[in-house]
Amino acid sequence: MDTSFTNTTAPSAMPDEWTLSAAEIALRDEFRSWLRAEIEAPYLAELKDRATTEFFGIEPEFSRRLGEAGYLGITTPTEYGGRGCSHFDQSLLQAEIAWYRAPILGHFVLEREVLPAIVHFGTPEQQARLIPELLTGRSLCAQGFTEPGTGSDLAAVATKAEATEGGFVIDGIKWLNSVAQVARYLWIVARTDPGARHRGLSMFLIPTDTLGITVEPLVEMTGIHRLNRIVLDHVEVPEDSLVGGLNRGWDIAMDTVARERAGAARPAGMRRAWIDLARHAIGRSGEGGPDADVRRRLARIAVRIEACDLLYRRYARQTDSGDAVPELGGTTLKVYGDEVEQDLGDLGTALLGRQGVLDIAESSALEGRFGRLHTASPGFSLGGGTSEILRTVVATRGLGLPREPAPPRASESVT
Amino acid sequence: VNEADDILSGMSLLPAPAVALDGPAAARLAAESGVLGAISRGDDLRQLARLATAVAASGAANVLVPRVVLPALLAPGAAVDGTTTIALGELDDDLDPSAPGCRLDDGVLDGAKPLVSAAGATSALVSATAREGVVLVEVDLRAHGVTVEAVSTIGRGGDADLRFDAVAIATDAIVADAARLSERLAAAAPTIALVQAAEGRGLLRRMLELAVEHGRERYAFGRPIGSFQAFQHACADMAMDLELTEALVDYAAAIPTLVHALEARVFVADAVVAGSRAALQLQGGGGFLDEHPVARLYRQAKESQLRWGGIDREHDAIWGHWIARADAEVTA
Repeated sequence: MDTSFTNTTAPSAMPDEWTLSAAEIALRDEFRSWLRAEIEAPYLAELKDRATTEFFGIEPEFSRRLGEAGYLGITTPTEYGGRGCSHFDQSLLQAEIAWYRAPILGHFVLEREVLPAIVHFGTPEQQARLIPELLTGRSLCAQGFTEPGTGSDLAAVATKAEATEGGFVIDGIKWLNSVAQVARYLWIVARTDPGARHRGLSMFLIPTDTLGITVEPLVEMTGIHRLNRIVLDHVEVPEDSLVGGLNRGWDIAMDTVARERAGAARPAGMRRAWIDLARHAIGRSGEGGPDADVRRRLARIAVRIEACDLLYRRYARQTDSGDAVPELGGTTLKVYGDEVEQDLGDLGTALLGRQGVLDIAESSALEGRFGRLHTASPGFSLGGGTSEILRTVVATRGLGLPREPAPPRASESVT
Repeated sequence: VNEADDILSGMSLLPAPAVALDGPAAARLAAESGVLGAISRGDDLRQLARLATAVAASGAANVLVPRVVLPALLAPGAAVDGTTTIALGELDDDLDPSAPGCRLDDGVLDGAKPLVSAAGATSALVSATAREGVVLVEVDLRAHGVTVEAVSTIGRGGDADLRFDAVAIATDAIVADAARLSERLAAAAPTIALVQAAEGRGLLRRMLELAVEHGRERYAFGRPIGSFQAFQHACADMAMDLELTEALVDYAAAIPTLVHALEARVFVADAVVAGSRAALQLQGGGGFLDEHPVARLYRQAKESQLRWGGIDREHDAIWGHWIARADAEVTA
C-alpha cells in the first residue's frame, strides 16, 4: 500500500516538495507496521459498531495507545517533550490512519487544536502541566465553539465568562460538539467583554468533570452518537483555565480552525474507497470490464481525488516552510475535499444500484460503506465551518475581495 | 500575469494583451527561455510549463503544442523556429495520426487536413498513409498543389484547412516512418498534456485576476460588487480550482509521467471552461464585448479543452493506470 505518496527518496537535483526523504519513508513505514497490528487488535477489530472504527470514529483506547506509542502530537517541539516532527510527517501519519480507516476523531481536537494552542499561546505553567498529559492520549479534548444560535458566526458567541476573584464563572450552551462524552477537557470560547464582538472573546480549557457541566447526547442522521449538547451552568473555573490571555480568543480560535480545516483532509481514505468501488465495478462487469461511462465517471473522480492528494502534500510542506495560506490552500482542502467525498458517496451508491441503500455492516455490499458515506457526508460540509462561510473566507481573506457591509445595528435601523 | 510579464518582457517580446502569438513568436520565446532543450531532453519540464502558463495568461493559447513541442519531438534534429506546423488529425482528434484521408503513393501526396495551426507557417509535418504504414512527411506549404484555406475558430488562433492535390514529396522529406512516428508520438504524450494543462492554468489565473479586479472596482447598489456573496463564491470556486490546478501542473512538470500529465490535463480542461463561464458572467455585459479580455479567455478556454488531446481517451488511460496501481497498493 502506497497511500499515494511518491515512494522514492528525493534525488539531490529534485525539489523535495513531491518526494519523500529516507527519514520520512522510515517514519511512515514504522507507523504503518504499528497501525496494521493495531487495527487487528480485538478492541478495534471486534467493535460491534463498525462506524466507530472508521476515520471519523471515536475510540479512546486507540487514541490512548497512539499516545503511548509516541505517535500523537508528533509536531510538538522536543523542549515540551514532543518529537519535534514536521507537519509533513504528521500528514504522512494521518494518511495512513485514513487509508486503514482507523478512528481519528477521538484525538483530533487534542492533536490539531489544543496541543498547538498550548504550545503557541499557553503560559509556561500551562505548558508544563498540560502538554505531557495531552501527549499520553489519555486526556481527550472536545471543542466548544458552536452554540444553538451561533454556528459559523463565531464572533456572535453568547456563552459568558465573568471574571471573579481568582477565576471565572461560565454560563452558556454549546451544541453539535463531538467527543465531549469521552473527553477530559472542553476547549471553549466564551465572551469576556460583552461590549466587543471579535475582541471580546477568550479561550478556556476546562476539565469536563467541573461542577455545572452537563453533556447530553445528540444522535446524528447516521444513527450514531458522536455529537453533544453541553450545558455550562454557573461553572466556576480557576484563572489558569484561560489560555492565551484575556480577550485574545478570536486570534486563537482562528488559528485553531485553520488547523482543523487543513487537518480534516483525507485523500488517502478516498483513494481506498475508490479502489473498493472500482474493483466492485470490474467484478460486476463482463469480460470487457466496466462500460465506458462507468470507467470515465470513476476516472473523473479519481483525478479529483488526486488533486486533493497533491494539494494535501503541498499544503503540509508549505506549513513547514511558513508559506501556507490557510485561507486558500487549507480552506480549499476542506471545501473541495468535502465535496469530492460527497460525490464519491453519490457515485458509489449509484454504481451499487439497489445495494446502494445498504448501511454499514460487514454483510452489505462493500460493507455498506457507500450507503453510510451518503448519509455521513453532509456533515463534512457543515462541521468546521460551512462551505458557504469558507467560500467567503477564500474570497475575502484569500483573494482580498471587499467584505460584505455589516447590517445596521438595531439602534440604527428604521422601525 | 506578473510571471508572464517577467518572462516575456525579459525577452523583449511582450505581446499586447489579447493579441495571440503566432508560431514564430512562440518559437522565439521557447528558444530564448531555454525550454527547447528541455523539450527534446524531457528531463526538466518545469520551465516549459511556466512558459506555457505565462504565454496563455498574456494572450495566446493552443500554439505551443503544434508549433514548438510537436515539431521538436516528432522531427528531432530539425530547426524549431515556429514556421513548421503539425498536421496529424483529420477527424475528432488533433493527435490521431491514422490519416485515412491522406495518401502518399510513389512520392505523391493527396488528401486534406483540417484545423491546422497555420499562422506564419511555411511548412507542415503531415501524417499520411503509405504502403509501409502511416508516415510523417514535411510538406512545403508554398509548393504546387498545396491549398491553405483559412478557417474561423472560436479561439482565433489562425487555423487553416490544408488540401494536397498531387503534391510531389522528396524521399528525404519523410521525417518518420511508421514505427518511429508511433514511438515518438507516445513519447511526446506527457509533454503535450502538460503544456495544455499549463496553458489552461495561465487562462485560469488571468480570469481570476480580472474577476477580483472588477469586484473591487465596480460598484452597484452603493457597494463594490465584490462584496456580494454571489460574486465572492463564484470567485472562490475559481480560486479553489486554481489551487488544485497549480498542484497538479507543478507535480506533472516535476515528475513527468504520462498519468501525472493526463490528470493535470483533464482536470484543467474542465476547470478552465467552468472558470471562463463564471469569469465572463462576473464581468457583466461588458465582458460580452469582443474587445474585453475575458471574451478572449472564454473563447480560448473552449479550444484549450478540446484541442490537443481527447478527454475521453485520456480518462480511459487514467482509469487503466489507477486500476493497475490499485493492485500494487492493496497487496503491498
